[in-house]
Amino acid sequence: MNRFKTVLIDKSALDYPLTELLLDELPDIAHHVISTDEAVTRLRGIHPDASCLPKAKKTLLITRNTGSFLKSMATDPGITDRSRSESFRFEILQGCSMDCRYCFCQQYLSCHHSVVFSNPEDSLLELASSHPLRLVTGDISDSLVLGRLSIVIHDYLSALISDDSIIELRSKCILPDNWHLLKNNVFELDWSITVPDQWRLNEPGTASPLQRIESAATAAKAGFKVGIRFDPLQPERIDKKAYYLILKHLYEAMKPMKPRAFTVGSYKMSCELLEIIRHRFPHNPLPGVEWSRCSDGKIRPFKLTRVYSYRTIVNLIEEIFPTVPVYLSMEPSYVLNFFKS
Amino acid sequence: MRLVELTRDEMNCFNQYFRVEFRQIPHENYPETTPPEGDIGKNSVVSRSIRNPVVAIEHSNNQKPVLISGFREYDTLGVNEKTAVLVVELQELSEAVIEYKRRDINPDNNTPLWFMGAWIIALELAPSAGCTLLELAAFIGKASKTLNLEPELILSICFGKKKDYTISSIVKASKLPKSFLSRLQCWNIDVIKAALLANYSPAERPVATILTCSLFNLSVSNMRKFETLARDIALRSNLSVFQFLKGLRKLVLSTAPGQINVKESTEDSIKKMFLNAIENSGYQTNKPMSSINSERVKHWMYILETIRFPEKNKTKYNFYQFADSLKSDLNLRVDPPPDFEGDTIDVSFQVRSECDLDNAVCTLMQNRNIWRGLLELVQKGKNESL
Repeated sequence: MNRFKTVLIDKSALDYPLTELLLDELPDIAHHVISTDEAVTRLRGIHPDASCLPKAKKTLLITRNTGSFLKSMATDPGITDRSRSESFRFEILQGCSMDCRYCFCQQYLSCHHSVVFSNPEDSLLELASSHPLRLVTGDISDSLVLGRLSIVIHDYLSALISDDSIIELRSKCILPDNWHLLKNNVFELDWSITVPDQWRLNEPGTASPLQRIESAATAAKAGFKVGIRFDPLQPERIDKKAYYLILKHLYEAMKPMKPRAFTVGSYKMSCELLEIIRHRFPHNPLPGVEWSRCSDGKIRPFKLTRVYSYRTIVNLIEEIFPTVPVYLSMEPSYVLNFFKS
Repeated sequence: MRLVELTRDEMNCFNQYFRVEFRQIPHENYPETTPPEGDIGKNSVVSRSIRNPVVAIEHSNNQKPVLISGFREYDTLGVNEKTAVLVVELQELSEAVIEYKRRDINPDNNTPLWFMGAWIIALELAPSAGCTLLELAAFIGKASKTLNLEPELILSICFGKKKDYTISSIVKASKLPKSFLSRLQCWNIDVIKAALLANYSPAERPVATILTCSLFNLSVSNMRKFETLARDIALRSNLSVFQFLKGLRKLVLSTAPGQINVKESTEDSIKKMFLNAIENSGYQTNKPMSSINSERVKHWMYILETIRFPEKNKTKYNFYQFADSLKSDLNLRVDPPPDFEGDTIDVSFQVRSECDLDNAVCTLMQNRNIWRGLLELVQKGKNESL
C-alpha cells in the first residue's frame, strides 16, 4: 500500500460497505473526502502532461461506478472459438500504480489514478441479465496491485456473483499476505510473465519474473487454477533460451501441479500510444520495432516475426508442459484461426 | 478562442452584423485533421472532406476588424452548405490591442491589422503548409513565446511580408547561440519556416527538422511523417536524430542517384557507409538544394525503409522474387496483403478473349508449388522454400 501517497474518497461512495472495508485497511494513510463533482471531473480528466503521469498514479480514488460494470472483451468477429466471447471485463478496478512502458491504459484511460469502484452491488441486475461465465478484473488494471485491498475487493465481489461464474484475476504482482481469503472454486489466477531483460526494460515497479512464478506456484499448490500469460512476448525475434529457462523454473516451482493454460500474445499498439511512449520514454526502443498496421487498425510487430515467436514458444511449452493447452490472444482472426488449426 | 457552429437562421442573423468573405476554393480537398481539444472539436469539423476558409469582419463605422472565422464546410459534391460555418471568436485579438496600447505604441485604426493580415495569410497558407488554421495559429503563439519574438516578426519570417529580416537578425533576436547561426546560413527562409512550424520541445528537433526538410524538399506534413521514420531508424542505430540526419545529408550529397543498389547492399553495408558519412560530415555544403531531385528522394526514402524495416523488406523482396517465377504473357500481378497482415494473396491478370482465359487458368494451375510457397509465406511465415 505504500505505493499511494494520497487517497481520495468520493463523498457519495462513503456509505457503501466496501468503502468501509477498504478504509479499515488504510489506517495509516491520510484520506480526503471529495465531492462527487470533483470525482467525476477527475475520472473524466484529460490526458495529463507526461511529466504529471507518475504523480497521478500515486493517488487512489474510491468512487462509484454510475455506468455499466460489465464490458464485453472485444474480440475479432472472425474468431471461430466461441468460448472467447464468454469473458467480460468487470469494471471494479481501473488504472494501476505501476508504469509498464507499453501499457495501453496510458492512452485508453483519461484518469491516471488507481480507481476502485466501491459499489459492485449496483451491478446485480446486470449480472443477472447477462449471466457471465467469466469475469476479468485485471484488464485495465492489475488485479493484485492494491495488495491487501485487492483481496478485500475480490472477496467482497465473490459474494455477489452466481455460483457458476468464475472471477479471473490477472496480475504482475506477488500474492498479498491476506490471499487466503480467496476461494479456489471462485477465483482463477493468471500471472503475466516475461523474460528478465524485458522486465527490467519495460515493466518497472512490477514483481520480478521469479517472484511471479513463486506466487503462481503457491496459488497452484493451494488448489487454485493458475494461468500463465506470456503477453506481450518480446517484440523482436524471441529469446528462446530465456523463455526456456522461465518455463523450466516454472515447472520446478509448480511441481507436481501444472498451469491450467498458457496464453501467448504479442504487442498490440496504436500510433498514438507509440507517440506517448516516444514522448514519455525517449530512450525506450519500443517505437523502433518493425511495426505493421493490421486490418483492425492496431499495429503489431511484423507478422512473420510474431508467428515465428508464437511457434517457438508453443513448441517450448509443448516440450515442458505437454498436456497444458495454449491459447493466443490479441491477434486478428487470420492468425488465431490459423494457429488453432 | 472558441468555435461556434451556426445554424442557417443564425447565419442570416450573423450576416447583419458581419461582412463575411469566403475564400472560395470549392474543389480543394483539405486534409482531414484530428479535431483540436476543447469544444472546438465538433464532429462536423472532421465529418466532411471539403472545407473553405472564411473571414468575417464586423460591420462598424471604422471597419475595425474584431472577428475572424474559421472554416466553411461543403458537402462532398462541393455544394456549399451555409449552415455549417464555424466561427472563431478571437479573444486574443482584443488582448493584442490592449497589449499594444499598454506598450505605448500609437494605435490607429489599423492597429490590429497585422494580426488580421496574419490570419488571412494563415488562412491561405494553412492548406499549402500542410497544417490547419488552428495549428498555424497555435504555432504563431507558441513560436512567439518560446523564441521570445514579437508575433509580427514571426509572421514576417514565416510569410515573407518583410524582406529585411535576415537569418542573423532572427538568431540575434531569438538569442540562439552563434553556432546555430553558422549552421543555418546555408538554408533558405522556407526551411526556417518549416523549423519554426515544428517548434517542438526537444532541443534538437528544430535542427533535425531543418535538415530533414532541406534534404528531401518535403512539405511540412510529409516532413513530420518522415521525421517519425528517421527517429525510429536513429533509435535502432543508437544515434541521435541529429546525428542520423547529419550523416544522411552527407551521404545524399556525396552520392549520385542510383549509385547505391539497395537490393544488392546488405543492411550492414548501408549502415557502415552511413556511419562513415556521419564521421566525415560537416554542416556546410555549397551544393544547391535544387540538385536533390525527386528521383533521388524516392531512392533515399527506399533506403530508409530498408533500414527501418529490414525483415519486412526482406520478406517482400523474397515474395516478389518468388512470384516473378510465375511470369507469363498474362501480365500477371501477385501481391501479398499490405504489410503481410492477412492470409490471402491478390492475383490479377489481363485477358482479351475466352481463349486467353483458358490459357490463364491453365498457366495458374501449372505452378502449384509456387502458389503453395507464396501462401505458406503469407500465412505461416515460412520462407524456407524461398
